[in-house]
Parts: sequence; structure tokens; C-alpha cells
Amino acid sequence: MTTLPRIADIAVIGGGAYGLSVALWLRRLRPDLSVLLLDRSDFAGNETGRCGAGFRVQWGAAGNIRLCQDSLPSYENFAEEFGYPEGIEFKQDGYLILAHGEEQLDQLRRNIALQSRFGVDSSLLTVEEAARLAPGLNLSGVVGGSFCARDGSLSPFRVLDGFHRAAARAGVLIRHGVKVDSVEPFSSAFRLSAGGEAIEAGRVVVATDTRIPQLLGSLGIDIPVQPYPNQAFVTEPLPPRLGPCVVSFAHEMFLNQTARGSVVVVASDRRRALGADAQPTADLFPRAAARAIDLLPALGTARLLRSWGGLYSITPDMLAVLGETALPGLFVALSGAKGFMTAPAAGRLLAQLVDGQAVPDWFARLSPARFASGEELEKEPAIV
Amino acid sequence: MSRARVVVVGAGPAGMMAAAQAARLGCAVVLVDEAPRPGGQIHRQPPPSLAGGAVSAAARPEAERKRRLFDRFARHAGAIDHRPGTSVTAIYGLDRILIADETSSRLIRADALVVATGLHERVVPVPGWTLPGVVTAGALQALLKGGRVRAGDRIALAGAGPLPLVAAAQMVEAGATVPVVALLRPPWSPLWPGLLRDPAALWAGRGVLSEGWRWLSVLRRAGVPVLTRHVALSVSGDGAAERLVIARHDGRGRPVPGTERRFAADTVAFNHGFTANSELARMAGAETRFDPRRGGWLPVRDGDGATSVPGLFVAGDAGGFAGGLAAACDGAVVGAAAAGWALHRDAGRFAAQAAADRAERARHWTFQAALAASWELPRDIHELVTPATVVCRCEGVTRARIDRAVADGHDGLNGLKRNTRAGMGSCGGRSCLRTLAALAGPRGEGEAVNARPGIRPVTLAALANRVSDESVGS
Repeated sequence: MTTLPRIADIAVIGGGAYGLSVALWLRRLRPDLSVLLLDRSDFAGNETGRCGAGFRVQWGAAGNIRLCQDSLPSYENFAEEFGYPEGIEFKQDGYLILAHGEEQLDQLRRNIALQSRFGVDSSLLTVEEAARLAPGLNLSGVVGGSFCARDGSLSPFRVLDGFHRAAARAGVLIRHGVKVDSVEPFSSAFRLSAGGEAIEAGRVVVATDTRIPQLLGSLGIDIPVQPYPNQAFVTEPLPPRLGPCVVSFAHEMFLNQTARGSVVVVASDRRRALGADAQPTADLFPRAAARAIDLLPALGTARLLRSWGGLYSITPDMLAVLGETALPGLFVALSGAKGFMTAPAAGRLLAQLVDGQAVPDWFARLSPARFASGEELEKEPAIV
Repeated sequence: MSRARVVVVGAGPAGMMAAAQAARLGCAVVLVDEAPRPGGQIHRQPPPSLAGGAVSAAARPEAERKRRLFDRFARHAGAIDHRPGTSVTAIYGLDRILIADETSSRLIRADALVVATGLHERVVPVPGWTLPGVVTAGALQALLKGGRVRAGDRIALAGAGPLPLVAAAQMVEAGATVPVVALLRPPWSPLWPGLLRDPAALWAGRGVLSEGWRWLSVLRRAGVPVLTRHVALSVSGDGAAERLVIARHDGRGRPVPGTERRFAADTVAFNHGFTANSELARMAGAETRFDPRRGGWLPVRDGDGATSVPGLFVAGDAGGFAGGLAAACDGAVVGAAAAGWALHRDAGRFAAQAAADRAERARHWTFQAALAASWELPRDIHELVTPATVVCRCEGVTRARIDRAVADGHDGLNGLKRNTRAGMGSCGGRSCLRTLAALAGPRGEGEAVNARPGIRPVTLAALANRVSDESVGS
């Protein structure tokens, strides 16, 4: 580990998509300020690197729709916007959400209505239309679906590499392998303790997702988030079998054939308890492999490449938490399990907020203050 | 009531002996192996239809070792539930080991688990190493032993240690022309100082030495040039290997200008030592240490093969290269320890039963410790990996891309892997992780990559078809 500076204008804790994006935008907005990013692991060592690599604007809560909608142009123009010519493997073949039963279809209909209010070009599909988009799927029991052609599959590793390089070029000082043990107010600033070293920072952005309460709980800051262990596996590269990404609530499953041909399968288990143990469990394969084959029969002959576990950050409304805490100068960036999809916009807008600039009302409503306000929360219904 | 169960992974010399020993001592033994027949890589057996045939004078010692091993195994084979064509997909704990074959999977429990998964070959990539016709020296042997197939007509070999020499001699006996064997240094040169200091080691290794002498004689009789202190620079050809270019090196692995030589060949075989197959031990949580000579990231183990995880044992070359003879003895020692653990939670309980194997193992280890120095690669050997050379062939990652990631600060192996995708492909990083670690700099070899469930490719249909554990090892 190279030496840490003792002082920074702004410290960002967490080197996932949120941390990197906000750090990058802070330096873009304020090249006069020093920005230090501290990450406890190596490159892509946490949840962004474990996600299902899908992108969709098709959500059922305004905050999620807006964040994804605002992020999409950044992903569509990633090479130019972030100076990353090698590309992010964006396979923009759309995203298909299947409805097994009228109740699910009604929900999708309501979501599409909300999406269209923001100009999202999503539509309700008949079973026949879904079959044409994804001919390999087993659609028995499916009554319809929701589809958006601009959604798709993209590489979290490439995106993080692009953010990482752009942040470094912009002058963010990035230090991996540094675990911050505590954050404390100190005169009008903050003191971070990391491996026995103290760092003083004028403002702090904590972007450690499910681990935020561990760092801020002792300050009396209550960010309601629970870790939920999810599991995924990936096959060896296959010939094209699946155009769009597919979600099936009935299968508790997300399928994504990436630009490289591998099929990523994210298998949720509603019965699994909340908790921070993300290790894959022994029941994953008999359950998830069977469901995956039921959904896409061609997967039967596909070979497993590897499996892994990761943590969804579950908030009361399944929306991100982005904003200033009760301690002025201390900000949180918590993804609500959609960090990869929303990072470009979340990072940019949060950086504006940290810099004291105005942000849109819809973004301001993602502030942690919403949980204490007593107002009714707008809840996201469209989670796998 | 179920009997104490020892699960052994790998049916090479170490695994066969561990299984036989544990069965002899009263355990229920499950022996899981990917190959259709036991023997491992070293004693790979052809299908019955291809068995038999004459054995040359030089090949006789190996055939004799194989016969002794199989005899010992056969005495207890009736008590061993041998599962060929089966691999371990995941270890979620010793009580939850996921094994799979082509059609089904099952979760089995072990009171003691012996990982005897051997090792695989290490190759330092040079331009052209991904051309068709370029193989490892061990692959030449595997084709010959397992399928009675000679990989080519004109076979050039290069690398380190004794394997390229032995493989070359076997190819000569199989009727191939070998235009050259190019070695980084004479495999016998690091041997002598150690052995002369330690006559016991010399004595222990006399069998291996005389066998090596016989193979060298085969090469000499055939007029095969053995060029030591030479380094492979490239393989080239129009769509397939047609020639190997080598040069003398300066002792550190850098070519001496003006000494290049080209050899026409339809097949080029490399071997730069070995990497222990330690993934399963690591997945089960075993601590590792890095040993560049004996196989990279090795599980830390004691003389009984016990690792940092209670009940998890490592036997044979999976714990670090020591050769087939040592592996067989080690298997017998570790099998006794695993049986002691499984039956009595006491790895030392049957130590006396394996005393003779332990003593013989010590002699082989002494000899092999001296030999291991021949796999110490020259310091600058990776300078020959040009920017355009593909390092990870599964994902097509070049050295230039790896250098860029290292320059960006991703110099830990796991971060480097995620940044470049090198090591993420179907081979599980077997062909590139050592190179990746060497290119990463000082931190590279310090951490092993994460071993995740799914290390051996199995079909999703087999995983979905999980059968109950009742029939296993009962």
C-alpha cells in the first residue's frame, strides 16, 4: 500500500460504481479540490463486480426510473463521455420482464404508464410478441410482458475500468486496500481512521452500500438498509440464444446473455434470510439450474463457468439513498441494489449536491431525510 | 449407522494410495476422479482396446512403478467407491461437497477430505504459442499414453526441468523426429551441488537418475541436439506451428543477439515447470503460501498432509511438486492420517501403519528438493512476452493490456484478473495465472486467486439433476 495523504478536501469511501462515479464528477466539477477515494478491496472487489450486468429503465418508482433514464445516455456514449475507447460491451437488445398471471401483468401495466410519463419508450407485450423477441424461452404460463428496446446488457468490469481511468485522469487519488474503520466529526471537518492512520477531510461521501451503517451507526446516523444475499452463476460462452435480458418473477430469476456469449443467471431466493453472508450456498444449483433450464431450455447443455454471491442493499422503498446526512458535510451514496444501472447519474447529481449546487427535486427526494420525515414513501414494486 | 467416510479427490498415485490406505484402515472411501480410469496424468491408461504393446528399456522403470501402484490399489479396490468421470464442482464445507458427472450431481459428506488433484503444466508464453500445433510436453505424453497417438512427426521441445527431455525421448521411441530440445539450463546442473552435499539424497534418487540417464541415451542415440542455456523466442507458421526459434540466453533469460536458431517442426511442446491444482483446497478455506519452484500457490500442510482446515488433507503433488514416487508414498501417509481423523478425530492415530511409506517419502523429498531448483526460471524470462502476445488464451488478453492494468495500479492478482478478464475463461486460469502473477510485480504472487464454486465445467442439466447421497460410499 502506498502512503495515504493526511488531508483531503473531499474523501469518498468505497470504490464501486457509486464511489468512483461521484469521485470522478467531484473532480470534474471542482478541479481545485483534492478528492481522495479509499476502497477496502482491489479493483471491482465488491458488489458492482458481482452484479448481473443488466440495465433497465423499466422500474415502477419514479426515482428509479429517473436515475436509470438519466444514466442511459452516459452508457450509450460511454466511450466519448469517459474517454474509454475500448468500450463497455453494451449489448442493447432490450430487457423483457415476464408476467406469469394477471396480477403481475397489471403491475407491469402500471409501471409502463409511469415510465411513459417520463418519456420512456417501453411497451406491454403479448405472449406472441415476447416469443418473437426471445424465441428460445419457455413461455408456458406467461400472460404477457414489458419490454424496452434501449435496455440491455453491459460489462460491470469495463464500466468500472472506464470510471477508474477517467477518475484517475481527472485527478482523483485512488487508494485500494484501505479499509476505513471510523469517521468522526473533527472541528468543522471529519477525521477518518484507516489502518491506524488518520486522514482529515472537509467533506465525506460514504459509498459502501450495505456497509454504511457499520461506519455511521456510531455517529447516530440511521440509514435503513439491510443486506440481502443473492447468488449468480455464469456459463461458458454460447452461440446467441437470448437477445434481451429477461426477468421472470415466477422463476425468481434474471437471465442475461452478455456480448461475450456467456449467460449470467442471477437466482434469488425469497425464503433466504437477510444477512451479510454472501457465500454461495449448496442449494443454489439444484434449484437455480433447474429453473434456468425451465426458463431457457437451451441452457441444459451449457457448462457452468463459475458462481458467486453478492449483497443487494435493501432499503424500505427499494430506492437509492443519495444525499446529505444530519451531519453537514457528510453524505451517503447507497444504491438500493441498482448501483451499476444508476451510477452515472447518481454520481453526477450527488457531486453537484456535495458541491452545493442545485439538484432536481426528484433527486433531492432520494435524501436520507425521507425516512425520518414521516411522509409516505414511494415504493419500488418491480424487484426480482 | 453410516461409517466414517474419507473422500479422496484425484486418482493419481497420491489419491490411489490415500484411498487404499483409508479403506485398509476401515473407512468408507469415495474416490472421485475426472478420468475414466485411475492412474492420474503420470500413469494415464489407454482404453482397454488400446492396452498392451511392447515396453522399451527406457520406459520399463515407469511401467514397473505403475504395476506396483496398481497392485497396492487393487488389494483394497473392493472397499473403495471409485467414481470415474466425476469432478468436484464446489466445496461448501466438508459436509457439503458437490460432485458431478455428465448427467447428475450429488452433495456428499466427508469426515475427512483428501485433495490429491496433482498439478498442471506451466508455460511461459512467447509469440506464436497459441498457434495450432503448440502443446505442452505433458500433453505429448498424455496423447501417447492415453490414446496411443503421436502428436506430430517432427516435434521440437523447449522449457525447463527434466520433462521436455523425457517427453522428447518418448517421442523418439514413438517414431517422431525431434529436431531440438532447448532448455533454459541443464536440469542436472542444479542437482549436483545439492546431491554432492547430501549423499543420502543422491542414493534416494538413484532410480530416477538412472531412468533419466536412459532417456538421455535414447536422445543421444537418435542424435537429438539438446541445447541448454537456450530460450524459446517464438513459434511461427502459416496458421499452424511450422518452426521454433530459440537463442542462447545471458543467464537471466534475455536472448544473446546473433545466436538465434530456427528449427522446422510441425509440433512444438513447452514445459516450464508445474502449478499445483490447489483450487479445491483453497475453496475449502486452506491457507496457502507461494513457492515458485514447486508449484505456485501451495496449501500449507504438515507432514500428515493436514491443512489449516480441520479434516482437510492434501496429498501428493497438489501440495507441491515432488514426483510420482513421492506422491504414492505421501498418499499412503496422508490416507492413514485422514483415516485417523475420520474415525477418531486423531490424525496421528495410525502413524505407525504408514511408517515405511513416511521414511521412503523422506528420501524422495530430499532428492526432489534438489531437483526443484531446475524449475527456477531465469529472472527476466518474462521479458520475452511481447506486448502483442496473448497471455490469457481463453479471453484473448494480451500482455499490453495486462501491463496497462498494472500501470493503473491493479497489481493484486484478483484485481488484475477482474480488470483484464485474464484467467476468467474456461480453463479457470490454469494456463495464464502464473504468468499474470509474474507480470503483476511484487504483489502478484502474494495472493492466490479466489476459488469459486464451479471450478470444473459441468452442464447445468447435470447440476439440476441432483440425486440423493444415499448410494455414495455406503
